[in-house]
This record gives sequence, C-alpha cells and structure tokens, in this order.
Amino acid sequence: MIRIEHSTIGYSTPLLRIGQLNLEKGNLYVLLGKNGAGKSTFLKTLRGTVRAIDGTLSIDGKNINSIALQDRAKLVSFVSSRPSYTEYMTVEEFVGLGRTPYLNLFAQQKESDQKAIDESIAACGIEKIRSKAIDSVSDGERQLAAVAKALAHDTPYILLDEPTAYLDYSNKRKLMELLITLAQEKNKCILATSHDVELVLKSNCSLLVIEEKEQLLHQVSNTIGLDELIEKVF
Amino acid sequence: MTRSSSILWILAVLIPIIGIIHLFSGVSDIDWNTFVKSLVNFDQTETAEVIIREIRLPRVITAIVAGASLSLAGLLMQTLFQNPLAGPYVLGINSGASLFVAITTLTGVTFFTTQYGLAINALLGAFVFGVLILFFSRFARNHITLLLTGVMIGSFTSAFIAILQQMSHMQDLKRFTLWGLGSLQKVQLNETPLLIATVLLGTILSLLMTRSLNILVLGAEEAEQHGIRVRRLKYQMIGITALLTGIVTAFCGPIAFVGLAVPNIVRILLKTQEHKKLIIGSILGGALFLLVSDLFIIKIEKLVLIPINAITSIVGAPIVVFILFRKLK
Amino acid sequence: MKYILFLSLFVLLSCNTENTSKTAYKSGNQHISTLFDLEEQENKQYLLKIFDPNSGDVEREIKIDGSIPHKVICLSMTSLGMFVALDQREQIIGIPEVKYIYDAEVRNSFDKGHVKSFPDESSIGAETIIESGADIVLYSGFGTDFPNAEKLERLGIQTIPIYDWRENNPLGKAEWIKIIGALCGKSDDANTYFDTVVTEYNTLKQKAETATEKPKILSGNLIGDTWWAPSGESYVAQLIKDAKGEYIYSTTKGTGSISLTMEDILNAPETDYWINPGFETKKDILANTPLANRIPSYNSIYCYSKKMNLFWEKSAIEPQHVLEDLIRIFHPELLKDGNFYFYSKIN
Repeated sequence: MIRIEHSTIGYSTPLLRIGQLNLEKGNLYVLLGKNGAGKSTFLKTLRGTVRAIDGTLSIDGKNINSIALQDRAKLVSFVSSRPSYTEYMTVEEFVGLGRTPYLNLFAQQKESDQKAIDESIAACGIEKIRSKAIDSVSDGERQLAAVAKALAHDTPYILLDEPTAYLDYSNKRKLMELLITLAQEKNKCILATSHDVELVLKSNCSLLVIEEKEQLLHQVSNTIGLDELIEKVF
Repeated sequence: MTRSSSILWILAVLIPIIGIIHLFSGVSDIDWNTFVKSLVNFDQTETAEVIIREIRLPRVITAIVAGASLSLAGLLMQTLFQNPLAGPYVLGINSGASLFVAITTLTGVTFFTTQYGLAINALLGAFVFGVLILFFSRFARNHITLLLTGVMIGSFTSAFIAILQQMSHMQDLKRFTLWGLGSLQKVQLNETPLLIATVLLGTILSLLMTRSLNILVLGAEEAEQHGIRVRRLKYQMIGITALLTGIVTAFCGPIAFVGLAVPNIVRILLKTQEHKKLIIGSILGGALFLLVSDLFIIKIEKLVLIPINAITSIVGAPIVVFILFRKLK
Repeated sequence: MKYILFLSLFVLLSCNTENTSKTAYKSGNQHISTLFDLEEQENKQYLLKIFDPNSGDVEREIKIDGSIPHKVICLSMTSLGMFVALDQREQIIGIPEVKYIYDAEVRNSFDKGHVKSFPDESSIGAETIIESGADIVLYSGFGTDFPNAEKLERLGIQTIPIYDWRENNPLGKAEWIKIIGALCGKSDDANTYFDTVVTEYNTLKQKAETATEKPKILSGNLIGDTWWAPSGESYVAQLIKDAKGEYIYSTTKGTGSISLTMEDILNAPETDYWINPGFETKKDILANTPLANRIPSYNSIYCYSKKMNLFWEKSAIEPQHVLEDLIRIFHPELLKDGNFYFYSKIN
C-alpha cells in the first residue's frame, strides 16, 4: 500500500497538498488535473526522484526516501506518456528490458525471465508485433509495449504518466480497460494520470483529483457527475 | 545459430586469417619456419627474424588491440550519450590526451618523457576531457549540439597545443609532431603485453556493465527506474573509455574515426542493442577494421606509403556523413 | 620559425632541381649554379635572374642595387651566414628567432637592441616589416610567394627569395653568396670567397679519391612510419659521393628524397656509417626508431645535430667543411689532424 499523510508536494514552492491518501493493490487509480497542476511532480515524488516538501510517504510501510534504488526498482515501475525507444530493438527485446532489476550483470535471461516476458506480451495483446522493430510500430502499439515492459518489470506498483495522451480514442479505451484488468487480475496498484475527464468517467476506476484553487489532491467517489468533476478539476 | 552470432563468428575467424596474411606481407618474403624460430629461438643477427618478430608481430598485435580498444571506447561513448555520432575522436577525448601529452613533451618535464609517463598523461587527459564532455552533454539538446561541442573542444585544444608548439624546442616539437601523425608501428614487442592487458581489462569491465548498458540505451531516467545508479555508471564508462583511448593514444598517437565508425557498422550488421553482442562485435570489428586497413597499406606500399589515419578517415568520415543524413531525415 | 627549420629538413631532401639551364656567366670567375644568374649592368647595379629548377625558364628577375647601404631583414638562415662570411652584419636589422642564431656578434647586436627578431615568413606581418624601416627582406621561400610582396614592393621594400636550398650541387649552393655580395656592394669579396671554396672543395675531393676503401653509407631517419632517404641525385648523395662513400641508394632517380619502410632499411645492404639521423643522442634515435639498434651501422652514427645552429648558418657557404667532415668520417686515415666542423659521433 502506498500511504500518504499530510504531505506537501512540489520542488521549492508547494504545488499541492495531500491530507490522507491510501492507494491499495487491486485498484486502478486515475489522477485528474489540469496541465501544470502537479500530476507529474506527484508521480516523480512516488518514484523517488523528487522529495516531498513535508509529510510522510510510505510504500509497504517503508519511507519512500529511505528505500534503496535497487529495492525501489523492484517496487515501482513507470510508463511515461512518450516511452523512449531506439532503433535495432524488437518489441520483445523492449519488453525484456523490464526484467533489468532481476538479471545478473551480464544480462543473461533465465527461463523465469522469458516466462514473465511472454506473459506480459500476452496480457497486453501484442503477440502479433513481438518480433517487429519497436521504432516501426504505431504509437498505440508502442504504448502497449511500454505497459508490457512495466508488467515484465513485475512490481506491485505501476505508475503511468498520461498514458493515453497521444493515442486515438479506441486505443485510449483499450488501454484503460487493460489497466483495470491488470490491476484486478494481477492484484497490482496502478496509478495513471490523465486530463481526459470523459474517458475516465466511463472507466470503472478510482478517481483522484487535484483541485486547482485549493491545490489539494484527494479521492472522490466514482459516482460523481461529469459537471461536478469538471467543476472541481478545471 | 542466429544471424548475429554467425556474424560474430565470421569476424572472430577472419581476424586470425587476416592477421596471418598481414604477418607474412611486406617487402621481404619470410616463411613460417623463420617466424616460429624467431619466437622460440630468436637470433637477432638474422634480418628476417628481426623483421618478423620485431617489426611485423608488434604491428599486427597493435592493429588488433588498437582497433578493438578504440572501437569499444566508441561504443561506450555512443551508449553513454545516446548518440551514434559519439566517439573518442569527435568528442575531443583524443584532444584531451593530445593536450596532456603536448604539455608534457613540449614543456620538457623529464618524468613524463618515458613511454609510460606518456601513457599516464594521455590517460589523465582523456579522463579529464571525458568528464568535461559529460558535463557539457547536460546542456546539449540534440546529437548535433554535442558533436559540435566536441569539435569546439577539439579546436580550443588545438589552439593551446599550437601555442605550446611555438614555445617549445625543435627536438620536442619534432617528437610531438611525429606522435601526432598516428602510427601502428611505434609499439615494441615488449610493450604489447600492456596494450593487450588494457583491452582485456576494458572488455571485462564493459561486459560487467552489460545489464546497465542495455537499459541505458533508453535513457538515464529509464535506467534509474530499473535500479541502475546512472551517475556512477557514467563515470565508470568515462573511466573505461579514458583507459582504452588514453593507452592507445599514448602508444599510437591519435587514430581517427575507428571508434565512431566501427560500432555503427556493427550495430547495423547485428541489428541489436544487446550490449553483450555489441561489445564483442565492436572489439572484433574494430580489430578487423584496423588490421585490414593496415594490410591495405602494406599491400600498396610499393606504390605509395600512406599513413594509417588517411585510411581510417577515408572510410570513417563518409560513415559519419551517412549517419548524419539518416538521423536528420 | 621552427616549422621552417623542420620543413627545410624535408625540403633539403625533397626539392627537385634539374640541370637544364645553361647560361653564360658575366660576374665572377666561376659559375656553377644553374639556378640563378647575376649580371652587373652598370656600376653596382645588378640584374638577378632566378631560374625555375624544373623547366629552366626565368622564374623571376630582380634588380639589385649594391651602391647604397641597405636595411635587411634576413629570414633565411643560410643568407645570414653569408652576411657574416662577408663581414656585412651592419646591414642586417632583422633576424629569425635569436635562439637559432649561432654568430656571437649577431646575438650581441640583438641583446643590445640593434637587431630585432621576426617570425617566420608564413606568419610575419606586413606592418611589422614596414614599421621596422627595412628596405629588403630575404626569405627562403619554402612555401609560395612572400605574403604581401606586391604591397611591400610599392612601399619600396624588396622581397628576395634565397633558393640556395634548391641546389643539389654543394658548390652551387655556396655560390648564392654572390647575391649577398652584390647586395652589399661587395661582389669582389664574394667572388674571391667562392673561388676559395671551390678550390678547397676540389682539393679535398681529389684527396678522398685516393682512399682505397669505399664504405657503405645510410642516410636519413624515420619520420612517422616512413624512412626518408635522400635520392641518388640529391645534395646529400653528391656530398657522400665526393667524400668517396658509397651511398646505398645512389642509383635512385631524382634529386628529392625517396620514401622507404623500416623493413626496407633492415633489408638494405649492410652499411658502415649512418649519417644525418636528425637526433642528438642514441636515446632519442631509439625513441623515434625503436629498431635502430638493428641497423648494422648503429654504432657509427654521425650527425651535425649537436651544432644545429652553426650548421644552418654555415653549411651552405662552407661545403668544403661539410665534405671534410664526411671524409673524416668515412676515411679517418686521410685526415690525421684537425677536428670536425659540424659533425660529431652520436652516442
């Protein structure tokens, strides 16, 4: 469980405050907020690359900043809105990089690694493109591959920064459904940010919002109406 | 056997073949028996034995080791800066080695005039300039900016070297000028173990970083997310690059474009970002590249004598242009 | 300046000169050089014709006025030696970097500020020359034309190339002193000087002829990966021949130099003496040429490198002394007394 208490998030100046927030396994959380409201900074704080200004943030009972880099790599994985990729790399090799924390120095893959890769590829439904070059597939396919990489990374917590931002509508829906399925079936705690209110409301996920005026991040019921949600966020 | 491992095997088999052809090419005909005798029962009054043992053998070894070292250094730079145009020569790592060598040979500090003093200096210079370019790389937004920064560092350094040359004695200047031409023929047999040890050490240390290098291809952020201490990794990479470039530069002078061209050819051939293969491929490819280049020089030496840098530049420079056009499309 | 000196080492070996022009000589008793012609037109007014070494055509015509004293910037090291030989130092106001100067009096004038140092011809500024008040600049002309020569000419500053380094005949090289002689109004002195040189040179040459042995000679050194050796028709080859040495590459064509590999050198006929390796000590030779100790004549290396400044200043105008040194090396039994002028054994 990710547990946040009375925390202020930001660099030198506070961006947002959080009273009390628990993020639990088996759930997909979607954080809604305007651009610049602090969504990415919040994710960075959870990833340990930015320190919270004050308050307590813990993952599985351990303070985020006291977790060693290698240990954190086995707890939290991350998918950016535009995953970086390179030439001369197949989708499968790309997904396989998610296994990095579990490999020896020479990067030899064991059977268990290959199994995790196969399962991740299957879960994301990208078997057909597994041998294609990662720089030749579409943006949507690449985003799915990035999710598969995070799955292969095999961490209880997965963070995604605007994963749907550059996708067309049908791919957006597909990805949201995939994330919910993964959270529930693989018992993961998945947190994605978005500013796509309509898309989020149609999905069956837990809602987090950043209220601009009060700079406050908190959870809202997912039965909330569209108008009210828009009112809160924008 | 996969495509990439068959290519690696072909390279591995070609090296001894070309190496032996190289060993038995030259002005005079020398047979296998003479070679064996020169190794097991050396008679230093026999011209043929002197030639094969003290001229050709070190030259073959130097070509292999220098090619492997520079090419591996180039691969590390390219992964470090996520830039296929990176290489010890274009990024000014060589310039660092040259500057430090210039400071010591041209100012006549005697401690450094030994071959090993020279090596230490070249190594130090390579490391300092490696860190310098690492620092600048933070501000370089794209591939070309970094490349231009390297070129500027190179020009800046040349200017300092020119000033040093103006102030130096003729004898020192001569030595430095000759060193600056680049040569595979200055290494003596008793110095080859040091070169071999260097490339072996560099290879082992690089292979130990395979896991980190594979993920670093996707960027520092991704690497950190997967538990890699990127800052430390980068300094380690600069350290190994400096070791490889520094030692080779100290013994052979600056040799252009090997580090840039070979890893790119290898990557295109192997079509992979798997660094175990890239490291081995670059070492084999670099060794073969310099070996073939040098053999070519020997084969045409009756017509015209050309310096090794002329060949590596003739092959290397067009590759840079090719990559540039591909990247800028 | 160092570049020029360094370059001149190459040029000494590599310039091509063909003996094609044949012109009658009007000034002086003997005319050996085929690369220039000097004619006195009226009282101390001379016309200098410089011939192209390849075609033999007139390359430049220069009027020289020997009737008035000049202020000369002398960037050519050999010409400086010619002024010294004619005792005409007072006409010089500019010299190359002082650390390359041998002559004590010239150095002394520099210390007193009468003479100033100038950078080499590739980097000297026109303004510096104008400022100095010089009316003549003598230069070696290794590169192309003297920078801004035309503009300087219009301001009354003559630039004269001293191409003695193009000569492949040691005596032809020395004959360029006649041009300095004309410039200083001392043509007679220069002619007398040159005649003496010719006589002494020929006497020594005849003496060398009496030697019974003909030692085998190696010359040159590795520059980069290439061993540059003087060609069979070069200045150095001529000197070796006159000193009755057998230069191992004497049959090669051309007056420049030939490029060889280290393997060629080791495969060459066994040599008795190795001259002009360009270094002062065996340690330096070995640093440059690691396998030098495999050359048979490694224990008989001779070079002028310990008297570099003296050599540059004097060797052109004292070819008889260079020859004498070589005879002393090749045939010590012929010259029992005396010492080396330029050369010394490298240890």
